[in-house]
Amino acid sequence: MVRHRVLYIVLLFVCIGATLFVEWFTTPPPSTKKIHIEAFRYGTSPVIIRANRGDRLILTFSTLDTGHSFFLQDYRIDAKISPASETVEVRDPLQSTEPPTYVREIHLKAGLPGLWGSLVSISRFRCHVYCGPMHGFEQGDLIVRPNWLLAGSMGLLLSIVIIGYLRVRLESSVTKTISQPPIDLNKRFILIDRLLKWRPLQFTFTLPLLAGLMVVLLAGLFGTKVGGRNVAVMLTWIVWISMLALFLVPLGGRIWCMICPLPVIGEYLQRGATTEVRAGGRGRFGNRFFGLGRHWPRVLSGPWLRLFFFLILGTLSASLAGQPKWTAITLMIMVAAGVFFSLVWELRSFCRYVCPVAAFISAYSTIGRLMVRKRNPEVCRSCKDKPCFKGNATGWACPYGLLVARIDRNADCGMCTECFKSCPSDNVSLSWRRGPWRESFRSYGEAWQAIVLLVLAIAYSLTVHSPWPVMRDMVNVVDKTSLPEFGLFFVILCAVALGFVPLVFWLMCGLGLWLSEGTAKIGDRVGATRNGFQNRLFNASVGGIFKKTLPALLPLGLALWAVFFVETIMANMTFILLSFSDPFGWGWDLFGTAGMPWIQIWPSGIPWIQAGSILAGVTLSLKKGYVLWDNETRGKKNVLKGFAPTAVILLIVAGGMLIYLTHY
Amino acid sequence: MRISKSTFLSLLALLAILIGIPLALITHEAGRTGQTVGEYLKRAISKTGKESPLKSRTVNVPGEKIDFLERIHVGDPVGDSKPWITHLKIVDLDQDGLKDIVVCDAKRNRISWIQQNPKGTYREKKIGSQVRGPAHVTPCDIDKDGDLDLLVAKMGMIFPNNDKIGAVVVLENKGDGQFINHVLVDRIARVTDVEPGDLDGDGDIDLAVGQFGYDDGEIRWMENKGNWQFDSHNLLNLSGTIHTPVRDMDGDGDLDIVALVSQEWEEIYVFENDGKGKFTTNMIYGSTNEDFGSSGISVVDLDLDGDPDILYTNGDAFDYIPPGPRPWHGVQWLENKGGLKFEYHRIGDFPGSYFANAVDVDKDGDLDVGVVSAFNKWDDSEAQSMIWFENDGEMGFKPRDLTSDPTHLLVLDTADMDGDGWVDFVTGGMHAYPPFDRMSRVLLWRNNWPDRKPGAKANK
Repeated sequence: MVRHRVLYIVLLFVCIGATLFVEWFTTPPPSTKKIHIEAFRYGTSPVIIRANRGDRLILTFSTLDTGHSFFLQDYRIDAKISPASETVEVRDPLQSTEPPTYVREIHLKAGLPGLWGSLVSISRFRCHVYCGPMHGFEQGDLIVRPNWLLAGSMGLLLSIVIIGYLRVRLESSVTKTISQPPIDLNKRFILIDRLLKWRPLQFTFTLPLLAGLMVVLLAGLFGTKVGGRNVAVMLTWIVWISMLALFLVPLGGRIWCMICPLPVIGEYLQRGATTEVRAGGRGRFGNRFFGLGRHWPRVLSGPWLRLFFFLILGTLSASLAGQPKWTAITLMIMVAAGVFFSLVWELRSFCRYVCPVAAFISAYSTIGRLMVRKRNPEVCRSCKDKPCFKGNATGWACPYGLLVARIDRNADCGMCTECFKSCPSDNVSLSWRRGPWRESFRSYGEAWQAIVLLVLAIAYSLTVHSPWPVMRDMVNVVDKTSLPEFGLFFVILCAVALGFVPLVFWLMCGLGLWLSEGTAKIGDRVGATRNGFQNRLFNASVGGIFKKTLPALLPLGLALWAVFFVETIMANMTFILLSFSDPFGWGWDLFGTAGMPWIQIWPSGIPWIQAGSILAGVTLSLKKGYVLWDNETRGKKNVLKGFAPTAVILLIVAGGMLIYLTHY
Repeated sequence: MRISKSTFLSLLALLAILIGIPLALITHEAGRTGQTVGEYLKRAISKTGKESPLKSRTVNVPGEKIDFLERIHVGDPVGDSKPWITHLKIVDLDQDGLKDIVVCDAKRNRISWIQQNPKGTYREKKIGSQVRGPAHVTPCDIDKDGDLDLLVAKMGMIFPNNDKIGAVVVLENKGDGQFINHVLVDRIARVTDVEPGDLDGDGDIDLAVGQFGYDDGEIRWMENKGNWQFDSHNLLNLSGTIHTPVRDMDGDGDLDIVALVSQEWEEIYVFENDGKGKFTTNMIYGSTNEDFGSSGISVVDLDLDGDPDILYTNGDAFDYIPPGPRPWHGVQWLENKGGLKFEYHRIGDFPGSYFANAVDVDKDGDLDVGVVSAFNKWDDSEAQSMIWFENDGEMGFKPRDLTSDPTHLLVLDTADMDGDGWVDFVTGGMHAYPPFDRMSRVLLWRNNWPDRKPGAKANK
């Protein structure tokens, strides 16, 4: 065992060392480069400045349209560019009160000083002059070789593959993680138990968020139209979504659904109550509801509808993020939809089947550590009334239509805490998962959901955070792309997300099935033979393994979303503080941060965090994929063969994104 | 039906959020801007931004041309540079009885004096030391030593920039054509206007300061404490202030401040003075088009009824790509109806109209309106850069063509430069965008009205 570990460490150093050496060896010596940067809405030409450490760069500037700036925080340069002027106003963004200088050329030496500076290869420049609705996305890169991050990431990715393979091959049995039981938080902390059973809990948590939502709506409708100065944009598209992706979902699963203010107005109307319970209803529920209370159409159940809305909202979000008014209108539509669905259909139909945000939360909540589960299955089995599902005098019927006895994953439960109140046997627990997650997809819709989320995470980074203006323009329906062009982009994105990529994964699963044929587990189940493979490529057996394999996409998918939001939130943190202090852009200064200058939080560290996130994500995905195949196939060799095609795709995705993030 | 205590409290909290927050906010904003809640809501809800550019044929305002202006280049030639004259003012700076012109030259970052001496001969010279991005100049004897000093609004940079690079600068006239710069306040959001007036009734000259900023702007008044020391008092924190003329708008004997706030606000405020430097905010006009393109105001008794009205242009198009006219660009005036109530009257359309000046062009006893355009469709050689609206005496305005050459005219002032009794025009060109084939710096347009007969409408 120790020998193996030493071997792995040696391999790790060899892989990383080799790529670093190649990068160092192939980096040319320093020289002098004159670069003219032409700014325009929304980008620069060139958009990527490539240099070698020690190069002397002489930068000159012009603009094709309005005023822009070349904001390169790592090098402490903020150069304001004016039309028809060769002179730029330059200041140190970290000393914004110092007087600026006015120069025609900026001279800088490629590469930052110090130990950390020597590791920084990518410095992102942005625009610090509001130049239009999509100004916030204007950016480019200064990339300095040797690019240690690129080389190191590639070496690490290589080592992950090799070490993973060797672990499977060399070790007699891959160490199975002995799953520790989850921590029952109700039992551990009595206060939590009391809180969960306290009737006004959800209302109390939701109320401040409802107030926040109201401020967001008002700010969007009546406040400044400058997105970076309007709390509607900052809170919705940066704080909320980033918090979801980075913290709430990975840790709390669907905890957001408990406090989400969007559907609660509809829910209060449907229940005719805010904090109380109304018992004694008609039909299958033990509570009284207002509204038509229709069953949700069976044909529309599953995640497809919300997935489609997520695709639309996700694709439009870049444009919405630059438009406070449309941000507010979008949220108002969601609130109105929540009310409408609550009054027509039973329970929380909007959250279960329509809410686009639930598509994201539901899929990745699988990874979340906070869970609602039954304590003792026997107690549930002996329970005749099923009050967790039906509701009773102490708790409402489960808004998500769930029986606690059957909850074995996070994807469906919105953690509304009603079952804690309605269960007469105190058999519901809020638990903290300590071991790996073991949940699986139950339908093709969920598998597609994982794929679409993966594709959209990549598409977001490639468009919204792209250094290439042409890519950003594709999602800018505000002032660059016409609706038909945007429609074409959307259709292509849908085709890729819903058609092409699922097909690739399907084929890879089929290929894996074929490669691992003859093994007992699969052989027993599907009777696979090489000869029969052609006919079975699109049949249920491949479909089955497809559904079982695709949860492996979740860690990488979430990592890619983290990649996107880490950059979003770190680049915009000061705008967040600023807009909180002056939410409407009306000249208020509630917290004394309204006039603070914009700086990014540790911009040189962003690519490192992003690369680390992808490497962690792909490692967990590969590990999860192997475990999932191990459940289906006998023999390590066959597990490897079976999962290998899918693993290759995951590695291509991870590798491609690493190259994109560290080299472009 | 019994309502439990918790339900009652929760409903109360819900109502506070769903109704209380919007109501409090709207009431607050309406009160702050001096509007009723109804007025505030009406404007907020009806805001529409349209960006459809003008059709190529609509670059001209229809109207016959009376050929009465003779064009004379004054000051330094255009040369190889693309001039950026951001403001100019006709004034007898050396008080020799001949009108001079002071000029904000943002390309050369200086204030120039185009001195007329002898009569009909103009020579330009730089005065004071460098002022980066000068946007506005106002002559005023601020130190009350008997000569005219110059109040300069320093933007720092003319084009979009949110840095605190603005300043209020006074060029103190030391006599013999020598001026010394005094920076009254520095490192503030970009300053676009400085206007003098005794705002606190203590006998010295205070200043009304408009700061465009970019994302962060401001309007302040600066209290003169003597010895070039001024205390700042904030009036409004909105971006986009262009002009802050000082005038007694309510006829109560003290000076009020009028302010045009552009950007997405497109509002005109009157800060009503209590005579001691305490101001009450009144929004007297707000466009329902957030892309209205407010570009300038001047306070003038346009209808000659004894109270000051506001002449107002909207034609700013720096935001657009390419910069160009919009269908709603034009000229209007706000008629002072007393009690700080103003009535909007459209004078006429004019693509890219940037500044208007009320002047009796034809000496028929009423005030006409001269207008320059900085953002017409310059690729079309017929696109007008200056027109005038002839007043029919009953506040009906008829457009009349003046010129299509040069282009990009940002500023206009009028005065009788040659002492012939007829008002002449002086224009400044701001050439930041192509085409650059019809450029000008400072032009004097001498009024050679046909037959020198007031009101004549000859020479079509």
